[in-house]
Amino acid sequence: MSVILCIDDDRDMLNLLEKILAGAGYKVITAGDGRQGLIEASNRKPDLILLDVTMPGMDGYEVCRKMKEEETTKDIPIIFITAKQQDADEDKGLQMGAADYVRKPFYPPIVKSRVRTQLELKSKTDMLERLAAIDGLTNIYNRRKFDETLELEWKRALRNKIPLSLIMSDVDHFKGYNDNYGHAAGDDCLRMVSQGLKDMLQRPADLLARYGGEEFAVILPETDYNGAIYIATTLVTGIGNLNISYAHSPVAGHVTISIGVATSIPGKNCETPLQLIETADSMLYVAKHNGRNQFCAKDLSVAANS
Amino acid sequence: MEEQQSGKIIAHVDNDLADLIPGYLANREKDIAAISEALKKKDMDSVRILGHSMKGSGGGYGFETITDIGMLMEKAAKEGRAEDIRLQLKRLEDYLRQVEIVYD
Repeated sequence: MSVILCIDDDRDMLNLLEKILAGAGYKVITAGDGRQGLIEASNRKPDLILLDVTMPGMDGYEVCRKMKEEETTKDIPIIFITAKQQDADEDKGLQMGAADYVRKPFYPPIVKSRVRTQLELKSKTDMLERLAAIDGLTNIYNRRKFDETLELEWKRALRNKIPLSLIMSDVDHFKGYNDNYGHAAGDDCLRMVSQGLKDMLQRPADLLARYGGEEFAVILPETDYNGAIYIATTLVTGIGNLNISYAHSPVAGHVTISIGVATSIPGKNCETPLQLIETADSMLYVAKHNGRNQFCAKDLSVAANS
Repeated sequence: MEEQQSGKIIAHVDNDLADLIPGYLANREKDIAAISEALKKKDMDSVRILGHSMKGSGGGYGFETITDIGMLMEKAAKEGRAEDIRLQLKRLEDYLRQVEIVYD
C-alpha cells in the first residue's frame, strides 16, 4: 500500500486530504508543520508527499529544499498543494524540484488523479533504477552499481577516516567448466555461486556485484583487515561447501573460488578507489598463482610496503 | 456546489466527507471568534492566516462561499482594511446560519 505524507498547518485541510486519500486506498501520515514533516519523511519514507506552502515557521519551499538535499528523502516526489494563486509561485515550486502543483481550493477527484499519476511514475522510476543496477544473469548488482557504490563508500570512509575493504573473487578454471559442461551450465554455475555469496554476506551494507564474466566483487564498508579476512575465509569455504560438481577441476572435485582482499583507510597509503581495486586484483592473482581455492590479502592501512 | 433558495443556501457535499462536515463548520464558528478578537487587537497577521486557510479549504469541502470569504478576508488583512474584514465576517456568520447541506 502506498504511503502518502501530508504536511499542512491547517487541521481541516489535513482531515480533508486524509479522508480523500484513505478513501482511495492509500495509507496517510500527517504532519502539522514543516519541521514535523521533515522528521516523518525521514523516518517513514513515504512514497509521495503533499506539501502546503504557506506555513508558520518553516514554509513549504524551505521544507522542499531540505528534502531535496537529504539523501534519504531526495527521491520522494513532492506535490505542492497551496492556496497561493500566482503563476510565479507555481513556477517557483516546480523549479525547486516539486513533481506537481495543485492550487487550493481543489476538486478532490483531481487530487486523487494527480496523486495516482505521481505514484505510478515513482514506481516506474524505481523499477528502472533497480533494473539499471542489477545484473541480468545473476540477479545481483552489476558493475555500474559497484562503481557507484565504491565511489560513495570511498568518500564516506575518507571523510570518517575509517577502513574500507574490497574483495575481488574469481571462479577457478571457469573456462574449463564452460568447455566441459556447456554455456548453459556455466550460466547456472554463475547463478549458484552468486546466490551462494549473497547468502553468506549477512551485513546489509556489504555490496556484492558481478564485476565481469566470472568475477565477483564485494565492497565491505567499515571493515578492517581482520574483518575482511574473516569474510574472505567464509566465502572461499562456503563456495567449496556448495559442492557444485566440477569433476575435471584441477583444484577439487567441485567449483571453487579464489579471492584477493585489500583493506585501506582511504587517503592513508591508498589514494584512489582504483588503487584499492588494483591491490585486490593483484592479491587475487597471487591467490591463483598459489594454487587457487584460497584467498590472499593485503593491508594498505598499516604501511606502504607491507 | 452551492445554490441559493429564498433565504437558504444549499451546499452539495460529497457523501464521503459527511463525518468531517460538523467539525469543519464548528471550526469556522471558532474562526469568527478568533477574527473578532484579532480585529480588536489590530492583529492583521492572524486574520490574514485564518483567511488564507479558509480560502484553501472551503471549496475542497464543497463550500465555495467560504473560499470566497477567505480570499477577500486575506486580501483585506494584507491591505489593512478592517472595515472590509468586518464585512466578510458578517458574511461568514450569515452563511453559517443559512447553509443547509445536502449529501450526495
